[in-house]
Amino acid sequence: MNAPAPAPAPPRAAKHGIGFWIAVVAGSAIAGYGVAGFLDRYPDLSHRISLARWIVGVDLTHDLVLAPTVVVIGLIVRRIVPARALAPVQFAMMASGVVLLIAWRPLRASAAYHHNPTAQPLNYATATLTVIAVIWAIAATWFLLRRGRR
Amino acid sequence: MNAVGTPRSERTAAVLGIALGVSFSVCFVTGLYSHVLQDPHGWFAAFPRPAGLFRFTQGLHIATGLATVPLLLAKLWVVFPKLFTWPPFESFAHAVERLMILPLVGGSLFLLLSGVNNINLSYPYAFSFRPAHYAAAWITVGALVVHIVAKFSITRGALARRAATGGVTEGERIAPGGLNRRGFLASAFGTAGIVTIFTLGQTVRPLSRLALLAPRRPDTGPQGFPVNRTAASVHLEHVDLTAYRLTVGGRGARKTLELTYDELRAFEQHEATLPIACVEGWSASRRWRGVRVRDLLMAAGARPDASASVVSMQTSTLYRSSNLTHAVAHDPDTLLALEVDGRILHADHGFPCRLIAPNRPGVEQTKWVTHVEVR
Repeated sequence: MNAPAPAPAPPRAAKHGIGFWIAVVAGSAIAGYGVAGFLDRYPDLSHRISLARWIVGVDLTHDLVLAPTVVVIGLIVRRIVPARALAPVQFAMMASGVVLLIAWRPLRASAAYHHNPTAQPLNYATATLTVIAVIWAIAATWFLLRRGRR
Repeated sequence: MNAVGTPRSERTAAVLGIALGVSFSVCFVTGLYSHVLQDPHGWFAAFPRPAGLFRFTQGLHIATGLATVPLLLAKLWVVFPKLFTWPPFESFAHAVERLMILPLVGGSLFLLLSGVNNINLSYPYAFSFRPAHYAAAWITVGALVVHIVAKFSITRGALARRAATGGVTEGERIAPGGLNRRGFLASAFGTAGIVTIFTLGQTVRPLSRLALLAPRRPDTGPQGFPVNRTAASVHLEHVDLTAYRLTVGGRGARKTLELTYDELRAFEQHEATLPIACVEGWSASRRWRGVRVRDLLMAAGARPDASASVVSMQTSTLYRSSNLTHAVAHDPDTLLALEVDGRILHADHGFPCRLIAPNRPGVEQTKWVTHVEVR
């Protein structure tokens, strides 16, 4: 196999010209408008801190909990799943994980306290399992088609 | 070797970044529209046509937001190792660029989390959903402007490399097995498609049976469609019709009209097919029958340029009344509806009468109406 022609080295870090600083000023003004509106609505400190904690907290939860968990699960999958089935399994794991995140509230019947039978009207355990079954059926089809091509 | 790049490449980040730029822009614009409809500003007057505009924009807002969940998580997975690059910044400008990633990622994740919570009527915060979601949108878009400008040349370079090298740089190739770049992108967009297929039915009727992950079904509820606020929650399950009166009056009218339920039914009735379109993303089109608001305004001797607000019997202050601009109040399809699909309104849908008007969030379609204030 011939070595591919070397690609021109991409810029590792963006160049920060005058356009960048204009964007910083404009972006800060846009973000500041949102912050100012919230501060105006909630003069008391506890609400302000609460929103800041949510925004920073959800970021940290992603970086320190969700992302490392996905990395570990990915390593385990790579170790135990045969190479020829790996791609379809990785797709199915990704899609199933996202579906579980979106179904998390209905699965926990978050709207039940409203006593509104039209909110979350389904059996979401069955519904979620159905969607996940469809995902794994797609992954199985993908695997069989790949195998058939070889 | 043909385009077998690792998913963790600049090109993957570029493609997902562009998709996220589009999806966040769609959500921002549709969200602003919903916001000004619910929280009127001096420069904006709600308009009644096209009748289904809000149904479309809000359905798009929720569907796009849900489809963004896998795209954002995929993008964060691609760039996750960059979090640990050392030294963390190369210059003051680079430090500013990286600092802006905190509001960008935190804001984006909070928008998606609070949005998914809201459609599931879940509010685990000290603050109200709407002001926080609105503030986070501006914070995220502000940070996004900086991010787009900072990453513009890298994104353009990553996309331009396709012809020469299949889009990968040296050091971005991996051993076979597992998702390559194309497979990873197909999986991320495929997951977005799966999420869409299994939720879109809450607003697109032909897909309603597939809406397995949606918290609402457009065909499930009293008289065949959902409600957000039940009559029981505001203690209006049994309205005493002998005591019920609809009054129409105010400083914009020459007199105050007072109508019993029977007199309201004897008023000239009109029909309109209009959607009830909820901010939570579900919608259902129904055939409504009732009295035109503009006829009531005329009967009360309202000024030709009068606007109005519609007031409910419910005692809770939140969403107890809603404003009708002149254009909405005088639209021929703006009704105080007494019937839906040929049947007397169910208590959960606002019996004895409710407002139904074109191009309007469901939360502003006031139920259990007892007064029209003319201004």
